[in-house]
Amino acid sequence: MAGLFFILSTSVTAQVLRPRAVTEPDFITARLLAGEASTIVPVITAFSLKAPAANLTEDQKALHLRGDVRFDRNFSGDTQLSDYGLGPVFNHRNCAGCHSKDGRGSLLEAKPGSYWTRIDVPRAVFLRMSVEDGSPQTFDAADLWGSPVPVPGFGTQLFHIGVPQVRAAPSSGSGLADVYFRYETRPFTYPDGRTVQLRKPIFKVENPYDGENSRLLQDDVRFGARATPQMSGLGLLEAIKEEDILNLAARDLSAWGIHGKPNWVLDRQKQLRGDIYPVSLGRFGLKANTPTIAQQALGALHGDIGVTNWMFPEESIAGSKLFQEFLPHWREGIEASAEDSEALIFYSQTLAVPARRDVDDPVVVAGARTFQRVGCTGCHQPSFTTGTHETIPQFSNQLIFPFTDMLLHDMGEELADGRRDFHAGGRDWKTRPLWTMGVVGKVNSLAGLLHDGRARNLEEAILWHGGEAAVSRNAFVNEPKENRDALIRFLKSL
Amino acid sequence: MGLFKLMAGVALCFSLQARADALQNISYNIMLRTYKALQAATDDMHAKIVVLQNEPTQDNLTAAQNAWRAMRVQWEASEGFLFGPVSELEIDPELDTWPLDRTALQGVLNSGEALTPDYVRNLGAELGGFHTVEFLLFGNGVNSNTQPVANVTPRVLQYLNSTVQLMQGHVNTLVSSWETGWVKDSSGRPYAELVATASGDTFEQPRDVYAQMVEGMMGIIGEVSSTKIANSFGGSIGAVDLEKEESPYSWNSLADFTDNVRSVLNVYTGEYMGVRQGEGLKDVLMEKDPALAQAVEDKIRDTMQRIQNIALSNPGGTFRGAITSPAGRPSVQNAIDGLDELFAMLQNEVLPAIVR
Repeated sequence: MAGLFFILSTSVTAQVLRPRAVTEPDFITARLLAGEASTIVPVITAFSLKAPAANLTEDQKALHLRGDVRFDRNFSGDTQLSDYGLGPVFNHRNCAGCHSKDGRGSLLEAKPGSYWTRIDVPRAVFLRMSVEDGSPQTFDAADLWGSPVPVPGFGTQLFHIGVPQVRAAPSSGSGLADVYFRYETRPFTYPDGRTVQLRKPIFKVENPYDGENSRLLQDDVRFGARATPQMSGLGLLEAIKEEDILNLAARDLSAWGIHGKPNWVLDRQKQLRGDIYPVSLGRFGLKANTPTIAQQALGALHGDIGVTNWMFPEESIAGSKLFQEFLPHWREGIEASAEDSEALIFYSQTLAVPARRDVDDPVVVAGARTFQRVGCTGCHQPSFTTGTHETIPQFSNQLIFPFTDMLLHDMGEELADGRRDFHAGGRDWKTRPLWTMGVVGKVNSLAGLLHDGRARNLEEAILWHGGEAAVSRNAFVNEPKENRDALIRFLKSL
Repeated sequence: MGLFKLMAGVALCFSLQARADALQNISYNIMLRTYKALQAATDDMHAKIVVLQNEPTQDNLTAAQNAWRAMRVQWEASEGFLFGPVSELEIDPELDTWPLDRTALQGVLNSGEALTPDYVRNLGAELGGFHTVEFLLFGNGVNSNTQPVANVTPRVLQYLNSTVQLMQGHVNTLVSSWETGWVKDSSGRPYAELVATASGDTFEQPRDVYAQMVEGMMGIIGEVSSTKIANSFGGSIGAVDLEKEESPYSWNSLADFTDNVRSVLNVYTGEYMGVRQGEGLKDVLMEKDPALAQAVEDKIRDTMQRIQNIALSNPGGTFRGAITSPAGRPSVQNAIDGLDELFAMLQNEVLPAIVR
């Protein structure tokens, strides 16, 4: 009897265990998150995201270095200098100002004793804005394929700083308008009684350059904050096969409440060459609103810094009254050289993803299993094998573990910015890649997570998940603390 | 057996103690000390501006120029450890934004605005910090690295006073973050203590700090070679861009580069400005690879010497004289080669060895 029981029990155990052993996903033990492009660093430090992909040629490394130098160097508003091009209004003076050490931007710091704090210097956050008057999108040439509707006289991004000629004018503040923020806090209590204080930045806009009756201050203008994400592995995300992303969107995950959808966005390169349907799959940006790193990088150069380039040859505030007044201080011509643009794009494509650490740690392994069990992998798709990268052949056919499905998901009202961006709605955000999430806090201990940088750590970021992620978030919340901690340990191994 | 265990225990304690000494010494006697010296030099800079305002003589202008150079020494000697508060609080761009927007600065000086610190702060970092002060004190740097005191008008002096006050504020924040409390660590302990004890949210063990220190060294050595020198050096004498010289008004660039390498030497050897204070990274490396440990020190000193040799290559003894003369350019290339060799050594040999 005892023998029979023994046999039965082992066979039941075997049946329970065997399928798990067979289907144990490869991401649990994966070390090289970015395939052959991964860097293997002995210790994670503040500089660990600065390295180029490990499999570049010497010529490619030289181009990467040229991009690195340009990435760090200021543009200037001085028309006498060869680095001319800054502004006239902008969010920062160089790329690294926001992408500090190629990591995430710093949390905003509230001024002690003040209700509102003005962002009066460049910081790694800015506001996007658009008119949301309820008009339906037509997704054709008439509405630029679903582009956000610019605020007349202002555009779609609030440049809160200006060059000195803008800032010194007695009538104006800093840039297009002054931006203030404060934090709203509220507690979150786990079923086990443990409490976490969550914090969310609230923004307000004052003192627009065109006065109190400004279009900017009308009720139908929506603002959405954008904090700086890390730069790692972007060229590999560019190489993920479109069909793989669309296949993920076609899955039925309705039992989890998950309905990922692709964004289809204006492709500037197609538009410039005259395609009648200049639309591509969106891959980059917090709402997946740009199709390529070239467009993302040169768009940021043009917008965030105010430097015109071959892809965006007009000043960001061309046509506005502010620009008319600024014309005497302006120098005509494309501001970024073709060489600088090329180097910046290549640099943005080729920053490395460090290999994972602590892969064999039992707590990390347990955390990875919990990550899957509570459903995180429904959106944070662990792996892909890349297709062909057109300009960087080494990024082709690589097994990578970015932990993103590259799709949009409704993330709930708490995270919503109420702004449509092509096919992304006001509550939709692209699943962020999780590779390097264990590194960003070492690169910048002030790194904020989520689109507006509100979360001070991974736990807070998870707790803010809502909408399609609510099922998984609730499952996480109901796990014992030991399992929750293990899941975060797993994320820190990435 | 018992004796063996005891001896092993002694050896282990000795080894851990030696490591702690290196971190303690580097953190307090080199890094924090450099920032405190920068603070004192910034205060002195402000005092010299006030003297010049009260008594605008050529001698007082020279004294203010010298105060700028003294402040510059400490800043450049801190750039081998550009991590922690200086970068996370974005103090670096506030102090050392480059280039200066001279056209805008002239517009502000010609305006009727009251040049208060608040007004100057609102103009932005491209009209503040080291290079603004440098331009206003030394002149445009085209034919000379000084100017008649008559050029330094009351409005220029007011601007200098305000902008140096802003620098004092940033340097005070930097020092207090290292010395009194680093608010961004959940423990609230000062950053110097976190480095010295390899603890806090950022560091778990000494090798985390060693690696960050070596990568900080690599960062500045790479920057001096590929940015600070290369931007103006160009690929040939026809491609020289004097506008991109590091300190173009004071002609202080060679001192800047030398002090950048000195910051690496200080952390590596445990010296502060030529005087040994205690253990440095070299002592940590000695336990692992004595031959490499010495070779690295030799290479750092050789690289400093190569930079200083640039001065011997041209009659004016300046960086701009060297990059614009056929006789001077090889000396600049020689310095770049030294920096690149040092970088490779730090990356390929020191970093793997020190975390072993």
